[in-house]
Amino acid sequence: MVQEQGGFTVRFARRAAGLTQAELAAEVGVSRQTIISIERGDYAPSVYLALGIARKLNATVEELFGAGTQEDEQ
Amino acid sequence: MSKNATTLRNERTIARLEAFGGLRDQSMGDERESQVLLRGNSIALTFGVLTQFALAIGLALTGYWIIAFIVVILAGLQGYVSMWYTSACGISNAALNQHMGRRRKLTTWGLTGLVILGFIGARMYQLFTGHALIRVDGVADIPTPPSTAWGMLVGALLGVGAAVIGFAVDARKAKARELQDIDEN
Repeated sequence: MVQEQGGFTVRFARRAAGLTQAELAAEVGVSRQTIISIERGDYAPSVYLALGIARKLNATVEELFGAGTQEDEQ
Repeated sequence: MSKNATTLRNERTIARLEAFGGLRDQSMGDERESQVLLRGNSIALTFGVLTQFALAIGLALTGYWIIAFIVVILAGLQGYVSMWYTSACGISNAALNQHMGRRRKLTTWGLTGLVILGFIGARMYQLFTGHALIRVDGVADIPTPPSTAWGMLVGALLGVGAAVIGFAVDARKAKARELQDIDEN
């Protein structure tokens, strides 16, 4: 489950950064529902949004969303 | 007209269409919400076209075939706007339709055929019997120009021809755009 792993990582990184879903949403300019969807693995963000989230959480896109990709599975 | 001028004109029209459709408004939300809204709008377009076709058949059955014809034209116009927009953005509907699933293809063409048959059948019935299949009392008759079965057939063929030409032009434009993109890379 690619997205679920990415989602859980985002949730973990967000909590580690001490941010609420609403705060992260406001920081990257999306709704809280969108952050919830990303954390649940229901929505894969665009490159720009993924970069924005990664920047705010002091992580890389690869760290947040790279888990379970096809490359890793090979 | 040079290619650049055409591209510029298309870009301006695209911008106007997007503004008209409210796509550049904040009410579209963020990227996920926009996607959901657009999917909803796509479903609404299909639903709208189908209900318009149903209305057209109903009108044709009650003898108001000229109004029914206008409704069909308007339904077709909606599809054309969608096709023009996607084509201007470099997406070929014709090419995408080639990858259409069997079930989707069957439903789309089956329903389209059914609507055309229903529409033409209702008008044919009126032509041969002299009255509409369903009579609505208390509604004033709207005078309509006379038509013949041959005229309807020619009209239907012209309509199909226009659709085929539209798809061919769309496919050619998309192919040219594809080649242009390769050159630019």
